[in-house]
Amino acid sequence: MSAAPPMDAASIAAAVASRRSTARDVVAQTLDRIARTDGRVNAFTDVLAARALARAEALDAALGEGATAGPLAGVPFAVKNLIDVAGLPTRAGAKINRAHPRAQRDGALVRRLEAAGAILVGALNMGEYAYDFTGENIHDGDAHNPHALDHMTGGSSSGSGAALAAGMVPLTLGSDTNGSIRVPAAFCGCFGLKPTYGRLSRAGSFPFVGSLDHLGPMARSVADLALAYDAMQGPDPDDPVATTRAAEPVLPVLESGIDGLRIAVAGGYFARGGDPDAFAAVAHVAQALGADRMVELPEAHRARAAAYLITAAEGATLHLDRLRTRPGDFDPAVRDRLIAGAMIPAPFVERAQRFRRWYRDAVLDLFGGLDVILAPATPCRAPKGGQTHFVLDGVSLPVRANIGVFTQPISFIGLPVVAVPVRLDDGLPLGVQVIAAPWREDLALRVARHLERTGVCKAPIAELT
Amino acid sequence: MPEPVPSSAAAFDPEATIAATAPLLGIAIDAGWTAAIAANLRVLAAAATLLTEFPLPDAVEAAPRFEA
Repeated sequence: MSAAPPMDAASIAAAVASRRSTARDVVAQTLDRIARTDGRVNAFTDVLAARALARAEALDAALGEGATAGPLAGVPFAVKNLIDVAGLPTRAGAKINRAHPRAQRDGALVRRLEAAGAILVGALNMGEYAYDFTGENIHDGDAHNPHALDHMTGGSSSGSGAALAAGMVPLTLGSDTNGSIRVPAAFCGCFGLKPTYGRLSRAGSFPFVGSLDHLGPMARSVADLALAYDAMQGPDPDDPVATTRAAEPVLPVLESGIDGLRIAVAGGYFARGGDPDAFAAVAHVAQALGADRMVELPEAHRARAAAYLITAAEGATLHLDRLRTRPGDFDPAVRDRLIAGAMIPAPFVERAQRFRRWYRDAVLDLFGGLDVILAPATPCRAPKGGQTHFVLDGVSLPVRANIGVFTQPISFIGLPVVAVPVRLDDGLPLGVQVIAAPWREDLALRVARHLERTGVCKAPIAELT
Repeated sequence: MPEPVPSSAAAFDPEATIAATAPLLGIAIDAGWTAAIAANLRVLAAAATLLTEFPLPDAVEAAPRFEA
């Protein structure tokens, strides 16, 4: 079997559906590439070779008997290890969870992707309990950025970004509470979709902050994001906040272009407190889109503060029993933040939730006059692994707490975002957030696709050196 | 709209808060963790100040559902 270059999900599905490739060959090549590559990247915590090969053979047999191929036929994918995989404890990046009972069945989104023909090949590294922007994990080892192995992947969906950038799989799932899809997408130079809060079911995943948690796809092309997103949409009574809206497929409109779309660049808070490169990336995208209008999200710094408070308090509430009984088994950086979160007076948390309503209403007013807002995904390129502080606008700040300064005010009110990768030079990639009004993932994806089609944004596989 | 309320964060003593609330929470704090927890509490207190100093009309309620 030759080591064929990795393909995107859409090409794989077309090849398998037309019987030009077998799903078994695709999966075998994927497993081979993971085996040859992951020792340097550390994206995977579990590789499910037997399961994946069995599913692939079953798919090939069904197609051979005339079954209709699903839209993701034979597409290998992997999921952040906070999503349930039947037969594995759902570790959520934590040592403590390794002793949990094995999941009885796959998480909802895994089931939906496999129903569309995709084939799960593994579970992916992540920051402990998703309370992380770095991609560092003291239990499973740090994930390494395939574009520069001594740099961070970003987190907490670290393996989800790294596995894509290294070309190990064409499709991954991550979670995003404050930026955990958008940050690794930016640092690893791939596309990521954080959908509207409630759009995709979180059933069968380990939670972090229930009122902020999202799941979503990551990929090296916008069409692959859309394929996966469409396959995963739809109500789910097993997730208490899942929407009851019917699925709204985006593939039929993906090539509609940007004519008529009103696109603005976020100013104010989103135009300071970062490296010039971060803003240059936004300007590059804005110029390509002809977006010369600026808009200011009111009180964005307070929105970030409110998201920070809610995260600490809700996260601490979730983990209180573990903090009581097994504090020494946490990553200390996570434990100390959670303990502090447990000590926040309740009125502050309620105030943050009330502010959330105010801010949501103010931002939704802006969308009355525009369709898409552009903002940086991160304040800088991927820091070095182990780096604890960086200097932004002349101020030294802790890396861990500040990588998400531009993502937090957006997810705080559940807006859909596509993180698009930008290469300004031969250095590490940057990311730009393409933000739309609630339930308008279609607009963000159309803009992302336009940027990809015109060569402004692309997600090449890294040459590991 | 109510007037902004002055913050009391300047008088905040995170070490005293840790000592007082850890027994209530049932969390045994190792002495070596205190400095890091206190640093996190200072950040959280600053975030809380940003919110308490921003006047919100009484009618603004937290959304019972967070669906955007």
